[in-house]
Amino acid sequence: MNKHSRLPVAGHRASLIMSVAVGSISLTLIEQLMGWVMILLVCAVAVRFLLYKGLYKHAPGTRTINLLAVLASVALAWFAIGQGIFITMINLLVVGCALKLLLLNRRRDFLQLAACCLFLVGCAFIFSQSLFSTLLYSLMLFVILLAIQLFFAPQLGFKRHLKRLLKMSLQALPVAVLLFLILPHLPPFWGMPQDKSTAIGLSEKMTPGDIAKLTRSTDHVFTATFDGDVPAPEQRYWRAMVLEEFDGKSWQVSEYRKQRQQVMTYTRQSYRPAVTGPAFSYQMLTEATGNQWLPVIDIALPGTFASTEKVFSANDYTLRTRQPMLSKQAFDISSFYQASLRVPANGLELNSNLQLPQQTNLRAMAWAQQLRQQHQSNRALAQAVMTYFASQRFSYTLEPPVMPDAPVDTFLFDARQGFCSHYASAMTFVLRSAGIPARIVSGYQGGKNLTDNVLSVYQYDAHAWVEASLDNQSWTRFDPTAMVAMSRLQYGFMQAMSEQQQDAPLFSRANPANSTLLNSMFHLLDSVNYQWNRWVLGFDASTQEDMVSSIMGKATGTRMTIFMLSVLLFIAGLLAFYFVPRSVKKGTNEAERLYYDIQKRLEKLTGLPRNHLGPSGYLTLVSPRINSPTRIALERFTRTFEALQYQSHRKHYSISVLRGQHRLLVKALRKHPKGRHQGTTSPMPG
Amino acid sequence: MIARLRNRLLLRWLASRIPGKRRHQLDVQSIFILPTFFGGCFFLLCLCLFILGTNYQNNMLLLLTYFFIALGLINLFASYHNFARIQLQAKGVSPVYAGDNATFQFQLTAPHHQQPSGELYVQWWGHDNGITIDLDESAGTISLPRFTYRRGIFSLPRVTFASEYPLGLFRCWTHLDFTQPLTVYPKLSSVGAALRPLQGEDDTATLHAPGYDDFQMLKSYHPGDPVQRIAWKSVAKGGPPVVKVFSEQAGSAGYLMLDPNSATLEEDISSVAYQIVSLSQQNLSFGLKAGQQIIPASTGDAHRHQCLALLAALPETPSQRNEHE
Repeated sequence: MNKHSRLPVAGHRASLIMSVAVGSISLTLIEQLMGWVMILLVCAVAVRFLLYKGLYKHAPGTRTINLLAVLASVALAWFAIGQGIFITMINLLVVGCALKLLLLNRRRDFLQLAACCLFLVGCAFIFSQSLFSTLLYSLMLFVILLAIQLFFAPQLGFKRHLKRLLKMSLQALPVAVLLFLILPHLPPFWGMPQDKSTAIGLSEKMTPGDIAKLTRSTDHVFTATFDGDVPAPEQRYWRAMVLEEFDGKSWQVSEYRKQRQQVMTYTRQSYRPAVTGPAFSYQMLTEATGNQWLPVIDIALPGTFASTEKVFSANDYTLRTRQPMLSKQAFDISSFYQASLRVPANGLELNSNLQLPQQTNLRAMAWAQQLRQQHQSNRALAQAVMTYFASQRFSYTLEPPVMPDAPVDTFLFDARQGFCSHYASAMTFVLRSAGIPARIVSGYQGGKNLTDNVLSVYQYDAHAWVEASLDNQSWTRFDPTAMVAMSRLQYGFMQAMSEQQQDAPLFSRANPANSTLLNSMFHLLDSVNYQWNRWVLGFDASTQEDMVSSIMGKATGTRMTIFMLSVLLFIAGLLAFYFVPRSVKKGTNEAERLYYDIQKRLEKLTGLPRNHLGPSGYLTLVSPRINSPTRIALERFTRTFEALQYQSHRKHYSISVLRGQHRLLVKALRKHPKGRHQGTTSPMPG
Repeated sequence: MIARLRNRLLLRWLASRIPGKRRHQLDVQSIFILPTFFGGCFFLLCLCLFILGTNYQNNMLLLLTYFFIALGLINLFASYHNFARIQLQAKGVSPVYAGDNATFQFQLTAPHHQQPSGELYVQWWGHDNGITIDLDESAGTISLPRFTYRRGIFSLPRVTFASEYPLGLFRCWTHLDFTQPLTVYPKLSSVGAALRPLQGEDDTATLHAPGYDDFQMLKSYHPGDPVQRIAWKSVAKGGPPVVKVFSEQAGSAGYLMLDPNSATLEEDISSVAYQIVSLSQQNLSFGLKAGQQIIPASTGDAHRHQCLALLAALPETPSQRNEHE
């Protein structure tokens, strides 16, 4: 075997299939790839195809490829700055594959390309793990493996290649699943480079007008599976972030909280809120948003140890993950919906929630002072603001007019239309002006029932509302948007928006005009995806622990060891089952198998055993006992069988003919009246 | 030096592990299997994917990693399984003259109804290059050439068979000894040697080139008689075909002599070998005497082979032996 032996070019099936694999994987990564990388790759695949066909004889020389490689690395380095290390790495890998594809003329080149492709499939899983993409990538993996196998057995027929590879994959699959189930799911070793553009969803800064874009996005955010009670629609406020700092136009997470959270992320501390009362307990499956905040209901605590490892409570009662969520993840959460959100005793929080920029929104400020004089109690004042929204012809819209100057004033007194951010922003401003500590909470509101105990939340459920401290002891939730769009609160965003959504794309989830068929299809798809997310992508250390303890009882050290060992033994048994040679069964040849099958049926029907009779002998024996259509079929079958077995040189009797006759005969035998055929006098043998 | 010692130890170990046979069925005893370089890279790739999958907490990536590991494991067995189907039987090697390629032929058979697949690399023990056979294409006789440098009777070295089917992750190989002797005849030199009487003391030794023999008589033609001896003159006259019979050289005159202690032994052997070949081509009777070994005068292919084999087996002179060491 010569390591440097040259590969054939024209007609080399392995390289053609490998280039197909490279091309299709890159197509699925098209979002991550730069345009010029894609063009280079398409050229490489085309060249490989022409070389295979023999239409083009001269593969590019090493010097050309080296020059291209230098150019490509310069370009990659140039674009790398804007893209983050991971995307650049993927691009580099694809460029490498394309260049290798052009230069594919040695054994070594082919194997390098194969390894690169296998790695690319792995990388592709980082970007998408849905059921559909899993199927797609499995197919591509199969194609790559097929190319490798073709490389090592170039003369084997294509069908047999497929058959053998499929067999091998199916043999490997159960082993892989077992390994996946029993091997410990470790926490991350170190933080991975993330790419800058991935964080999607709510932002830490809210200028009313921002969320309008988000509201229309139909991306999935998370699914919550409840163990017991499911919160009522009006309880479904998923808190994600608390925005306390206001500069007159936009609200954002205050600096001191950000710093605090960063410290907590690195020191692995967690705030421990005091909780009482009943709780909703649920499992959350989040999409890969690249964010660190976890939208949860009221005061939420991680439910299991594994989740405690991954998330911590910040002191504003939000939950944050220690690592950005770069893949789908599962968290066990308990939400204590009756516990009150206590204000810390030191007064710092209250002060910062009274902060207001001076000299802005003067009309609103004046109106607040006026309200303060009218209402002694804080509660009455807040209620008055809410009533103002309800009574003064405010309306809910996704396309509000632009309010560049004094947005609160413009909204409250002139425009009177907007969406949740406008309402929350205005109300918080007024409350603060009146001396009541208040803040905006952004997150999601609502959720679609996937099944009775499963809620699915999409980006269009994004919402903002107000928390005010009326008694300086605890925070109370106010949702001013609900005053103008009650339906949104009760039935979710989709219904509330039905009259505004005519311009949504036709086959979009956000299009309420869809037919029931389409809706039920979406629903089915959601359910399948949900199950996939829950059982495959959401499988983690805690699920694993549950699984083991449900099989073995309490998970102690010895029991775990026994469990592991038994699974390993089981894998060994599987391998033995695959590969220990079995004795060749009687009738290995298909014709004989078919004949034995017929023989068994006939013996059952007629009660006449064949013993040592030849096929024709048996035919004469049983023919008095069967009706004529069966007899004709049997005669034909026997004749073909004999021709096949004893006169194999007569080519026109093929096995497919026998198969067809077998089918007909079986059909005839099924129709055959049960019991002995009338009018027979031959004695029963034996 | 160390390499040679290692080689010798390895061969001794192999001799006890895979004893030489004419026919080999590959099995646990004779098959070696280890990951290839590509296989090593594949498992390294698995490690990378595992780290990536764990760091991103990506279950699909982990599942993919475990699938790769399982596939590697399955491959280990599949590779072995495929290789163990091969059955080999030596068909022998025909003698050649030194400096020519000897072709060792063996039969490849598959005992099961399932044939082995993939490419099979065949090479001589210790050689870098060999031949590649596609098992799907040709299940039959394989010829492996071996270049010969000097005369002698050697036992063929072990033959290395290797296969990387199905995915190239593992390499199965074996070194088989078919216990086949290889006879390498001396190189032919165009200088003919003299045909002498056995006693050798006769001074009147003349060069007995073919055709110098005395014409003795005519006898009637029988099928099989050499065509060039037919007396065409008599046939032209219309008589029955007759063959000219020449007088046989007396026993004292028809021997090729060789002195095993000659200083120019190899040259002598070469010229004697040439003479043997040319005498045989003319169907002349001759004998061979080399030292104490005497082959009585005779004709025919078998005789020629016998003589050449004797020459091949002659021990080398001490000076040459030192050269080769």
